Amino acid sequence: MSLLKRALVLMVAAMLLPQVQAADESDSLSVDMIVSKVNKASYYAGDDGRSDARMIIVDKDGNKQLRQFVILRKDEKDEGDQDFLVVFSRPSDVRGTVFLVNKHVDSDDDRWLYLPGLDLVKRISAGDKRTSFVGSDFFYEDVSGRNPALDTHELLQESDEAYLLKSTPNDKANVEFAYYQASINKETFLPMVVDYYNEQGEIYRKMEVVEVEEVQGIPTVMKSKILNLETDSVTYMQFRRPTYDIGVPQEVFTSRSLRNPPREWLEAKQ
Amino acid sequence: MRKMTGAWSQSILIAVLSALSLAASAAEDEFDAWGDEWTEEEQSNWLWGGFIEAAYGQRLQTDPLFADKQTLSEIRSHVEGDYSGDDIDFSFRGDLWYDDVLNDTELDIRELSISFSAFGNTDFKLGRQISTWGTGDLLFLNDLFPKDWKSFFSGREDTYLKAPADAVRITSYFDAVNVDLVWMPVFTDDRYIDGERYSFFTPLAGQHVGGRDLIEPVMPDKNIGNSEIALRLYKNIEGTEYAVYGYRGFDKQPVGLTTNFEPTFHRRDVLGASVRGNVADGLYNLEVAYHDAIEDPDGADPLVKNSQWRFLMGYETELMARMTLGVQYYLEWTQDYDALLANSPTPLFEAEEKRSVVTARLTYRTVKDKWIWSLFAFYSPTDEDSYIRPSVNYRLSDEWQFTAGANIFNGQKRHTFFGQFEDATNAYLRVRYNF
Repeated sequence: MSLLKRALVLMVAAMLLPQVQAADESDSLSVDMIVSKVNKASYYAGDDGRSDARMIIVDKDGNKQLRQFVILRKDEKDEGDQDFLVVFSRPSDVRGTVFLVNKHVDSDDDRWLYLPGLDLVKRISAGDKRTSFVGSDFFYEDVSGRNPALDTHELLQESDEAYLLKSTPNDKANVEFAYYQASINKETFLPMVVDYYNEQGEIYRKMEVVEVEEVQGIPTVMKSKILNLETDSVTYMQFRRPTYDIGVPQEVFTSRSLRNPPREWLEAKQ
Repeated sequence: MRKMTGAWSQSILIAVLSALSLAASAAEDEFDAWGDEWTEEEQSNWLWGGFIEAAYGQRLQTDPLFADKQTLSEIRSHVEGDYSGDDIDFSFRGDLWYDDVLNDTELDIRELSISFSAFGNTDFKLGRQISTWGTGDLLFLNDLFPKDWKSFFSGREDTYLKAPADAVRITSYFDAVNVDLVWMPVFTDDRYIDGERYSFFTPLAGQHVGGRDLIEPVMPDKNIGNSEIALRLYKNIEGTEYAVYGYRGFDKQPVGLTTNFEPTFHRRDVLGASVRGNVADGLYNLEVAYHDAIEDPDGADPLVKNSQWRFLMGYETELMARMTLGVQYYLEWTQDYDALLANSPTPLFEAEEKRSVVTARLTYRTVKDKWIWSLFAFYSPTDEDSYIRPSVNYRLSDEWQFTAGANIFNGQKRHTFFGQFEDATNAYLRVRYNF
């Protein structure tokens, strides 16, 4: 970036800054604005990104399973269509498995799973989102994001630190929850705790962010966990070496990457 | 009343939150417990893995041609090794097992290949490998890559349905269309039912034969003109996957006869197309293929299986959380059927002109995929026979997995596709340790 450009950006930023603050002070945000900011903070950070990730899945007897993968993402535009590529390296029986999502906001997502043992590119039906993500307590939808338009949101509470949002599904088919409540950090707009309620009004599933770090100026979830209170199991998810705006091209999110994962984009550049 | 509920839920919330703060400190420990395994493995370009598996299965009926009821009895080791180089990757998959049904130690190299990319848009994979394409679920119209029906019928893992072949695979990605070419210099046939494990019906003898490997087919000569070529052109247009396929090769099973009445593989070319995409909360697929009997263009030669049109349509949807249903309708339409009947030495045992099969796959996964219940059923209304594959898989840990299942064949006539295997009906159990 040239010096002139940088100066220009600074000037523009300086001009905008007081207005942003004013907006913050003036009144609380509308529910839609909060939901939109949450969606952006959770799933659209930067224009693209990569991260190592791993999960420990612990069942009620304390048995542990491990999953390790790299996740790549590219947004077409904020809150718009986006693509995900997840490449598994552990354990040995899922190594080489690749999950590709072309996520659409206005239509069904296109999703594929590559099973290397069979050389099979398996397409996954679009409804099939709230099923376990590779044996963990996370759902596929937790990884690629739930479309906010699928739920009706209301602001239950607002404190100095957090918004408490209640989200009720517009269509109860294909979801297992009656509603969920999310406690949103007012600074980062990251949901720090999400409680999923069943028809009886009991919490049966809980997502919690354990650690947030700033990466390239973007508050980033580094550790989170999901508790399933019905089965008494928990999955810990940890991210490592996340990077944003790496410039990954669109063609990485096509069928080629299923059989031949794009190593140059998957590997962290130190 | 409402307020009471509110107060209650609030106190529950507080209780949960305080419980959580305890859990949170435990969580820190959990995250720490990972140690530094992450960095360790990246120091090596090699990745190794595999499993050891014990499997047992036996006939639920009596087949008079087999003294033994065992259909599967083996200890298997499977090893995978992958090397990631700067420019070239190397891959190995191999199985070594003691097969108690055959009283033999067997070795199967499933993959021994190098792969690399060139020209920016082309991937090469050379060596022994497994290839798959097409849209059918356990029905193959345009996938003429070798399959292992012995493993499939015996209850080995579904992966073993695909058999390896020595091949050169070149896949080029263009804006207009992707081009996928698989060249198998030496014809590789299916691992078909040959009497070794299961008996089968022979029309010429008019009865079942089995008890040992009874098929000694005459193989196509090993020359460049007899190599197999499979080609696929495909493109994803806004989530809908279109493909056209071509295959030049041979019958994958010895369904033909030489002039000396020995089983053999005749020339066969296949041309086809498929579409797959999202529809109404599910997936649909349509596929068509023309299997061309090159050596019998008018269908009058009884030594060569006639040309066939094959059609498939399928739909898959999630019925409820974690329960998926897939249904398919499949049709095999034998061409020049009158000529076939007029020339057949055994017209009574010929397949129907239009043989249809419907399939259903019902899969139920418990939370976190601990248990996977699966039922796959083939039913042919025209042959009045069926093949049902129930199975249940339990994943105790990353290391230990248990699978039980059955292969249930049923038919009204002894010569039909599935019906001939009625006495092969079996149940099996597998225990696997991954390392």
